[in-house]
Amino acid sequence: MATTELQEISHGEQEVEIHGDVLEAILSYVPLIDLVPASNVSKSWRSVVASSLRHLKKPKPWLILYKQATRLPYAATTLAYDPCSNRWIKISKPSMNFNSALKSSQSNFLYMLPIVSLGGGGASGGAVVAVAVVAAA
Amino acid sequence: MSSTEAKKMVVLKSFDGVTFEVEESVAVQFESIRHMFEDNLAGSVIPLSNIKSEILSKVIDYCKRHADDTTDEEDLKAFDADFVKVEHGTLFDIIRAANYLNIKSLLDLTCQTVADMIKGKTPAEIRELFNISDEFTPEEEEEASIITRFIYMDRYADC
Repeated sequence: MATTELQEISHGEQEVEIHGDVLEAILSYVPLIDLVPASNVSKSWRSVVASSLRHLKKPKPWLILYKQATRLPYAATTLAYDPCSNRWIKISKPSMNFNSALKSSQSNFLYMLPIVSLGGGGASGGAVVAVAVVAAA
Repeated sequence: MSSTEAKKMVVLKSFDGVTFEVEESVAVQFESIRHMFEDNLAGSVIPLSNIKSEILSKVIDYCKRHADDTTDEEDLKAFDADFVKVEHGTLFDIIRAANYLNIKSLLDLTCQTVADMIKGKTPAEIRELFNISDEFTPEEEEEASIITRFIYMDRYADC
């Protein structure tokens, strides 16, 4: 009889909620980039994402690359590499139209090294002009 | 029998009063309660008041498999893959138990499974997956989507 009672209990709990501690443990296995949508799931998820970033293993920094075409209109693209998920990400905003403005800048979120000029003008795709590292605030 | 005598047994009691007798070699994987049976408390029952018997038996099953040196790696992988094919609620209960008992490999396995479900999904898809009701007001939703758009990045296929 005890077993049937037990089954009823577990059936009653069908609508499962992930509790804070369990979710926090799970989120520490989710790559940084996937925490963006996770933080928009619900209010409780948002607060757990925040505390997971504070308490659990620190996310690895991203490698950021700026690319600028060597010819007009000198179109620039920003790429980031997330080592946790092994993915390249194109960052569309904030857009960097011209790298010339990009000497070094500082904020809580983005740290940039001074421009590293790579010669080789003939490169067709454009040259990498700066390398920066994002440190999770 | 001399072989059973040599094996020290540990008795664990679940939240709903079911007792499990496990070999010490299995129970040593329960990092957080290890000291309790290592302190020579032979024969005493260790209460695990926040783990249901259904979950505890799964956890013990997992630890037994992983304590067994004779199992080859392929079999163990297949066992692990099968082990996580359970309802979400059960999986979360196992995570909670693994977290409480501090069983690193089980925590890695189960958390990674759920993390893989979350990866690459939109907030709406995650809500649907875990049956979460949307608590955001339309204004908050709009604000959230602006933030998402701002940092949202197009995935690069081959780079």
